[in-house]
Amino acid sequence: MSAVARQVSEIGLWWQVVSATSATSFKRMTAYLINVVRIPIFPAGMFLTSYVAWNAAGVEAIDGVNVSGFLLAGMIGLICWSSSVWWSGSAIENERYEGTIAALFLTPASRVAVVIGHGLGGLLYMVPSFAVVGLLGVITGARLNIDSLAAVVLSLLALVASSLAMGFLLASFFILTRRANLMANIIQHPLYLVGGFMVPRDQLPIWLFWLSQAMPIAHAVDAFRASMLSSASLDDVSNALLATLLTSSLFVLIGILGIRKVEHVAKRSGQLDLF
Amino acid sequence: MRDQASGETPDSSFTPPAANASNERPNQMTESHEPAIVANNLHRVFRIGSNLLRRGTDITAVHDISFSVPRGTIFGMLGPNGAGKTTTIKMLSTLLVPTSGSASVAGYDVQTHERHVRRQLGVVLGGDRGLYMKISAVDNLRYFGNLYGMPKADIERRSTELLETVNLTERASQRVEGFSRGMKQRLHLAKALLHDPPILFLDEPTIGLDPAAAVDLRRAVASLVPDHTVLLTTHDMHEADQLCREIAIVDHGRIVAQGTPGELKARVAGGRRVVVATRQPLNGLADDITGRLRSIETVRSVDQALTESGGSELTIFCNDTAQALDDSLAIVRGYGVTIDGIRVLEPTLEDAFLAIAGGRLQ
Repeated sequence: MSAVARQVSEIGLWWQVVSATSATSFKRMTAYLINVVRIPIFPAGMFLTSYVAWNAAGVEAIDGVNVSGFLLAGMIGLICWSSSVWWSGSAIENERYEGTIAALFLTPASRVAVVIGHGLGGLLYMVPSFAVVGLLGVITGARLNIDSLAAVVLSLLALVASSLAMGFLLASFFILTRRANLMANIIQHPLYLVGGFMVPRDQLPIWLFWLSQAMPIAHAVDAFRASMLSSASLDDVSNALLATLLTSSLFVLIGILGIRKVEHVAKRSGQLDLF
Repeated sequence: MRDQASGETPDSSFTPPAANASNERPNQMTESHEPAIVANNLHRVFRIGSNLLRRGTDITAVHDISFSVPRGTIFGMLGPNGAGKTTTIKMLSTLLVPTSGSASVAGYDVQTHERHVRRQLGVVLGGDRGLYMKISAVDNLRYFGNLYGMPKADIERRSTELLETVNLTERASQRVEGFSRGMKQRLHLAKALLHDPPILFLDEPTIGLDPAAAVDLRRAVASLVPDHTVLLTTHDMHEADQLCREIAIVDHGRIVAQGTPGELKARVAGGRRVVVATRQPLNGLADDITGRLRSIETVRSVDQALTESGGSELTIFCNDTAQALDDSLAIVRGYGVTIDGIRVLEPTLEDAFLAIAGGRLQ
């Protein structure tokens, strides 16, 4: 087999693992009806709480867009972030919790592909949340102002990619601990603020603003919001997309190295606690 | 060669289907003389209780274990809980890095060729671990087939065949969380065989099963050879005796004895005996009879006791039961005593284990 054919074959196997993992992960998440019902409640509650709070403060527009539109874009980012924490980030931890981590690690499948598969499955699982938040946006009068569909699509892809990248990094850290669930809770909530989901990032204290600059999803939300609500062109959002790409790449790189290194460390120290 | 499954005839319904019957593996297990599994001075130390301020304590779980498993055979690791069996399997299956020593599986080093080793291996972890509870049996197999990179058609064909083999066809589309322990174990075996690995590691596969389910699973395991090589850990003496061609008795992280079940039993000096029960008590004849029995060349000692039914029982400890049986019957009959029953007791693996490992089983 030539090097190219081998590479194509490897990519094919990689995608096979990604798609199978996302499908299986989705099936597991939706095994019980209550899991499907409960999932949109949280973002819907967050949307409405923030919407009422902004209205009570007498604010009608944030950064030149109406509150409802601002929150709609932010909530889509928040849902992606929740997905990345609980599905990509906790992918390995969930396997440990289910007692399948050993069975998984005994296969030759790429761990990276497994984590991405879990992340995609998680995003699929979040589809009802996106729908409910979208519906609330419509009901509360979100005004879309789209000039470049390409900018919207690319921003949306950036949002997905950045959430997977962040989940990726978390996954590598979570392998070493059996308390990933608690750590995920600690990490999840500060990002609501730093990610600019419900408040404009330029209103944050300067140190928090710079911290938010390191978060890929914050840039993706900026690009998505601008392209969807402020008729921003591809050129207008290029800086935000570039920032998403750079920070996401860094997260992915650290995540890949981390997963490899941490798996080895866990096997050396016996911390996978597999059997 | 010893019969791999003496005592339980392998049921043909459990014979696992080959992944591709018409397409033989290039290095088919039975054709090569290279051992399937080799462990060289495997050593594993765990540090417990360490943190930023404390160094912790080192516990040696596996102490310089060495063995090799010929292809197409079942090799047993027998030992009490905590003996180091599972730690050894973890190291051989790439789940744990040895502190020192080396090992190879199907010719691949477990530390430098992890992915190759994993492709050659099917592992049954046992119990509730290793299966996705919220999805169906067939979905479990499909997912693991994908993780092994099997073509879709092969996954479907093998899943169907193996579910039938392990008698789970009717439950194939039901969630695993509703399965009994025995059903889960059978599904574990199907999962381990899915990608048709030449080597299987079975970690306590029958633990917690009811007797009927355990017999079924043992039949399935027995039917795996000679197409597969099996490393079996167990603390069930009967299981090890029935299934394994060779057994390593592991205790406190060390192999304390190794050999065929017959060789291990032969190491138990006091295990071989002939018991002769008489209808009446021997009374005054007892000393004479036991004295003559002791004079038989192969007899080491003789015990005499009264039975609940009012007769006597002579226990003749010997090196050769056949010889002792002939001679002792002739002697006892020579005194006109009516023989009520005879039992010939060979040493069991349990006798051997208790003698070698000092009686610690749990």
